[in-house]
Order: sequence, then structure tokens, then C-alpha cells
Amino acid sequence: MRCTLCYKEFDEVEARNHCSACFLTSGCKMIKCPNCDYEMPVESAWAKKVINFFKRKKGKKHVSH
Amino acid sequence: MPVLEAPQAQAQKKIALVGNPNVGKSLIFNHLSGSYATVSNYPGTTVGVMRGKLKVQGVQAEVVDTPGMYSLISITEEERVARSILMEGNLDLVIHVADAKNLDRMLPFTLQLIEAGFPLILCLNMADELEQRNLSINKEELQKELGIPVVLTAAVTGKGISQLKAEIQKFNQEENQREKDFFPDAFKSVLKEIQSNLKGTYPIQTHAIASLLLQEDIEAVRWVKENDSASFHAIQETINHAKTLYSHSLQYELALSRQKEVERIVNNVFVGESSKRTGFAEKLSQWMMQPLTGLPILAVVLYFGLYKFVGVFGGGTLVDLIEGGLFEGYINPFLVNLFEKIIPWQTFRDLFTGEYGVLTLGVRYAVALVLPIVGAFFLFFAMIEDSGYLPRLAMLVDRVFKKIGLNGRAVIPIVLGFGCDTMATIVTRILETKRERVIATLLLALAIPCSAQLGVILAVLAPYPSALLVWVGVIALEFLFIGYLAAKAMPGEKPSFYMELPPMRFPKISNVFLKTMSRMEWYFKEVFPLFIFASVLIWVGQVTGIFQFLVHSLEPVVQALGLPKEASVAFLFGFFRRDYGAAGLFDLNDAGIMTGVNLLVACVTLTLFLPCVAQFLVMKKEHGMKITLGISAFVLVLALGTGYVLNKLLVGIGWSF
Ligand SMILES: Nc1nc2c(ncn2[C@@H]2O[C@H](COP(=O)(O)OP(=O)(O)OP(=O)(O)O)[C@@H](O)[C@H]2O)c(=O)[nH]1
Ligand SMILES: [Mg+2]
Ligand SMILES: [Zn+2]
Repeated sequence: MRCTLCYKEFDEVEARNHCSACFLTSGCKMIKCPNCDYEMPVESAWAKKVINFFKRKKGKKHVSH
Repeated sequence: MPVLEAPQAQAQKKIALVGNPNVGKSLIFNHLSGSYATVSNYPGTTVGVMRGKLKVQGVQAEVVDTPGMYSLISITEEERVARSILMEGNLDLVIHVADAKNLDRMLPFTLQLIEAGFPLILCLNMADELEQRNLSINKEELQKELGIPVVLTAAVTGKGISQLKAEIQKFNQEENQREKDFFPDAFKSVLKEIQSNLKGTYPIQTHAIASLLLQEDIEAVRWVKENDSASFHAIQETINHAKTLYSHSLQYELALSRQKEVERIVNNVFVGESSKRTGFAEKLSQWMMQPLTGLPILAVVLYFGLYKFVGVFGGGTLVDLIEGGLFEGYINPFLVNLFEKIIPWQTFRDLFTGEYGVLTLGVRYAVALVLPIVGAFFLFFAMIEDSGYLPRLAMLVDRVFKKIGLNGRAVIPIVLGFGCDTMATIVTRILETKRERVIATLLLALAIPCSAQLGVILAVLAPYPSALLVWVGVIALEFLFIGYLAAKAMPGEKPSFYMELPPMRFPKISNVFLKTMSRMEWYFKEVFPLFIFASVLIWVGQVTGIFQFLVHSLEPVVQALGLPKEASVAFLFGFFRRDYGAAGLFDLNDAGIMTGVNLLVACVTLTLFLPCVAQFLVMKKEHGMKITLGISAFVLVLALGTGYVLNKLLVGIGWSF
């Protein structure tokens, strides 16, 4: 995903390793950008699905036009 | 596979790939050497140095893949590794790999490399993405501007790699030594003067050394001390004199002038959107970061975003609608009725629908009070994030902090992170001595509520604008204090907070939606169970009488703050989580027993409290029970003390809201 502060693309798994020093990592729903230390919540799975659903619908419309 | 030997045995040449993180250096390296370096879409993938044999006909050379670096002035450990290759490598060729679509952010480094006198090829990678965006770069023009060969590549598809190889071959045959610099005229005389004093031998051109000296590069200073000890003093004089000519640091001035040069070049060679970057967005971006204009902009954003939208709309209109309308009007009466029918025992029924019941208190707080406020807050925050304002805010805060002599670098990521585990990670990562770690933990416990908690506390105060202002003032003071102590506790030598700025843009609906929902989901997963759990705990406490005892023993404390004794319940909640306590205040305010001063005092005290039970546990894990209790006690005393003084002060001067 992309960091919302510094805008760098990063890998979520790698970012997890980044904060392995913290014992809360197992249950932690925050993710920390390895580049700038900014913390953001893990992207919500269902919200992503909703967006993809709408994007696909829009895409289809484009095709049919 | 046997490597083709060149006909006449030549000395092994050395080629290095350098450039920003995540631009595709390792992928290019793999193409050039046939060996395999880890490639991933994650800046900082390459931490060590990879070496391979160049697979280009007629050229005997070793290729080196380096970790990403942003500029010749290195900040991080990985950057130092990359830089040491540049400085000590006796390189025959340097290939600057850059992200073509972000040419304007890549070129400053190219200019630095040219000035340093490295034999250079500029490899503009990710050309495929450039095309996708309908952008293009006028390669010939760029070559002319820079005076070095430029190649466009797309390392993923392999496009342009053969041209790159051809350029390497050409380079091998020609003797390449250029003298070119992009220093602004204003600096030229100073640089000349320094240069004239540099008599020793250096790994790079002396005018580049001079420029590094101006930028107070530690390593350059060391070199000069060693190689030109005789004239070092004179050089120092020159630099000190130059400093007096500018209001900002020389590093900043040089970067600025370089940026101007880059803008000119980019405007010349870039075809497409990026060429009109000096428009309104760019100006706005500059204003946002300058304290003089940035602080008023921040005030406006906070006023409309936080006060009007989160406080008045979220905390007022929405809460009234959901809490007052839906819950008080329909859901609660319905539930109370229902449970009266199905559970005949009063005590047991109270667990669900009593004054502090799971449904009537826990669920109601979570869904009717906190949800609208936090939802509005997260929506606002997502817009800020997606518009690109956040990093500019970071720069602004950093500048303001620096202006007053504080170390912004230590505090900003924490502040903007508003995170929960920040403390643990930050503390274990940055600091060495135990003393420093404890101080840092204390600071964080005191200062950094998670964003949601801030939102709720703020919404409570929204009905009293002037009280809100005082709260902001108190918290700002606290921040400065924290910044001051943090500077003392975290004396990192990282002086500049450098961040590449994403473009300013209008927030995209899909992004804002995703961000808002992700935050809401995170918050509810974390908070909902706790609210329910707290209700159960309170119920147990009530049945056993412990709850009444605690509330009762808190009453004198609360009254010392000038608050009505009913507020002690909210304070008890506050020990759980600050936002839970704030929701309690919301209720009290609805009941009409709090004055503006009361609310303000309660909010300030709550803001200073430990954020939540989880944080307490983190501290215990990190530092043990003794220190944790110590810190908690300190925070508690400080929070109550501040509340006490504030109340006395306000009452003393007869302030009312
Ligand atoms: N679209 C596109 N992606 C590329 C191109 N070159 C590299 N990438 C991708 O960019 C990411 C970074 O590539 P790397 O080769 O690891 O970059 P690096 O510069 O070595 O990065 P660090 O070692 O972290 O400094 C990977 O996901 C690559 O697949 C390209 O030409 N086009
Ligand atoms: Mg790499
Ligand atoms: Zn980041």
C-alpha cells in the first residue's frame, strides 16, 4: 500500500517486520510506514471490495458505451 | 556460461548504480550483470551492496548496486553506505537511475552528481509508467541541458536496456571528464574562494567539496581537516561569512536555488501535465509550509474541519439525531421494555439496560456518541491525508519547532501518527539509555492521544468556542513543553526533516472512503469490545459495591477541580480510555450540570491522562511495573494538577464561557 504521509509505496508484510520490536504487533491493526514512521490503519478489506465493485461497474459502462 | 573476454586485457573498470529508493536500481542491475539482486516494491530493499560482472560486450567491468539515497548529503545508515561507494570507489562510471515520471524530484540529485564531477549517465527508468500517464520527456533537450547521456528505460519490460548498454560501451571508449556546475551566481564567488584553499587530493571535484562544506557535510569537513589542515581555518572563515549573508541555512538556500534550476529544466523537457507545476497548487503548497502563511492556513483548516465539521456538525447535529432521536426516542425505551419482560430479576436486568448497562451505556456510547463524532473526524482526516496537506503540515510543524529551537524530527512522526503502539516502537528504536527511554515513554503517555480520542474530546468542547480556544492553547503549550523535553531526551543528530512532497490534489472519493472506513473499522474493533467490557465491569462493581466506593472516593478529587461530584463517574471512565471518559462528559453536559469552565477543566485533565489501559500494559511490558506505576502516578498528578490550577485561574479571573 501507499503511505499517506510520505507517499512511498511499501509492502505490508515488510512493514510488519519493521515493528516487530513492539509486542503489540500480533493484534495491532495499525501499520507503520518504514520510510517515515507514520502510522495508519490497515486498509479495510470490505471497503476495498466496495470500491472495486463500483470501479468494475463503471468500467463495464465504459465498455458498453 | 563463460564470460566473453575482451581481446586485449584491460584493467577492471568499476560502475555504480545510484539513485533514490525504489526506482528500479536492482532491476537494472540484474539486467546489466545477469546476477540477481532482490527486487521489491518497497523502498530500502537493498541494504547492503551487490556486486556483479557487467555483461556488455567489450567492456570489462564490475557493476555495483547500492541502497537508495536521496542526495549526496546522507542522513540514514543505508545512504551512508551508498555514499561511501561513491566517494571511495574510484568509479569509472556512475549510472544515476531515476524515476522518469518524477523527473523534478530526481534531478536535484543528478545535478549534485554532475557537480561532483562523476562520469555520469542518467537512466530515466519507469518509462512505461510515464507513457501510461501520457507524459513524455524530450531526451535530446535534457542531454543538452545536463551535458551527459540520458537513456529512457523500462526495466520491467527490458525496454531501453540495450540503449543503456550501448551508452556504456560508448562511455568506455571516450574519455569523459566534464566541468559543469549549476551553482547560482550568488554562490560562485564563495565557492571559488573555498576552492582556492583546497590544495589536497579529494575523491571528487573540489568545487563539489566546497559545496558540501557550505552545506556542513560532516564527512567533507573531516576530509578537509585532514587534507588541508593549514587552510582549514581560512575556509571556516569564508563559510561563516557566507552564512551571515542569508537568513536560512546554506543547505536550504542551495537546495532552493537548485530546485529553481530543476524547475527550469523540467519545464523545458517535460511534455505533459508536470510542465505546468508552478501553478496555483504549487504556490499553495509553498504557503502551507511557510510559518507566516502556513499557521493562518492551519487555523482556517482547523476551524472549518475540526470545529465546524467535527465539533458542531458531528458532535452536535449528528449526535442529536442518532442519540437524542433514535436511541432515546425509540431504541432505549424498546429495549428497556423488552428486557423487563424477559428478565424478571432487577439486578440481572441492569447488566443490560440499567443506568450503566451494556446496551444502554456501552452500545449507546459506542454507536450513538462516539460513532458520529469519530466518523466525522476520520472523514476530515482522510481528506487531509488524500489532499497532500499532511506532509506539508509536517514540514510546517518542523519549521516552527526549529524556529524556536526544538527538534522537530523527534516529535513530528509521533504527532502525526496519532498511533497507539508508536510509543513502544519509537522508544525501543531510537533511544539508547534507559533514562532516555523512560523520559520518552512519559512524554508519549502524556502527550499523544490517538486521533479518535482527540476528536471526541474536541466535540465535547465544541459548544463553547472560547473554551475550545483555551483548550487548544493549553495543549499547544503542552506540546511545546514536550518538544522541549523531547529535544533533551532524544538528541538525535538528524537535523533536517526531509520529505519528498506528493503533489497537492483534490481528494478522491474512493480514497477518502477507503481511508475513513479503514480507520472506523480499526477504531471499532479496538474500542467496541472495551466499551462493552467496561459496562460489564461496572455492573460487577455495582453489584459488589466497589463501583460506588470508587466513584465516592473520586468525588473529593473531582470537586477539588471545581466540578460537580457527578463528574467522578466520567473520570472513572477516563481511566479506561480518554474517549470513554469524554463520552461520559458528553452525557453530563446533556444533563445540564456542567458549566463551560467545568467542561474545559475536565477536558484538559482528561487529555493529559494516560490514553488507555492498553498503553499501560505496553509500558509495563517495556519498563516493568515499578516504572510504569511511577509514570502513571506522575501523569495523573500532572493532569489533575493542571486541571486544578486551570480551574483556580479561571474562577479567579471570573471567566465564564
Ligand atoms: N512499472 C515499472 N516498474 C518498475 C520498473 N523498474 C522497476 N520497477 C518496479 O519498482 C520496484 C522497485 O524496484 P527495485 O529494483 O527493487 O528498486 P531499487 O531502486 O533497487 O530499490 P531499493 O533497493 O529499495 O532502493 C519493483 O516493484 C519493480 O518491479 C519500470 O521500469 N517500470
Ligand atoms: Mg535495490
Ligand atoms: Zn511514509
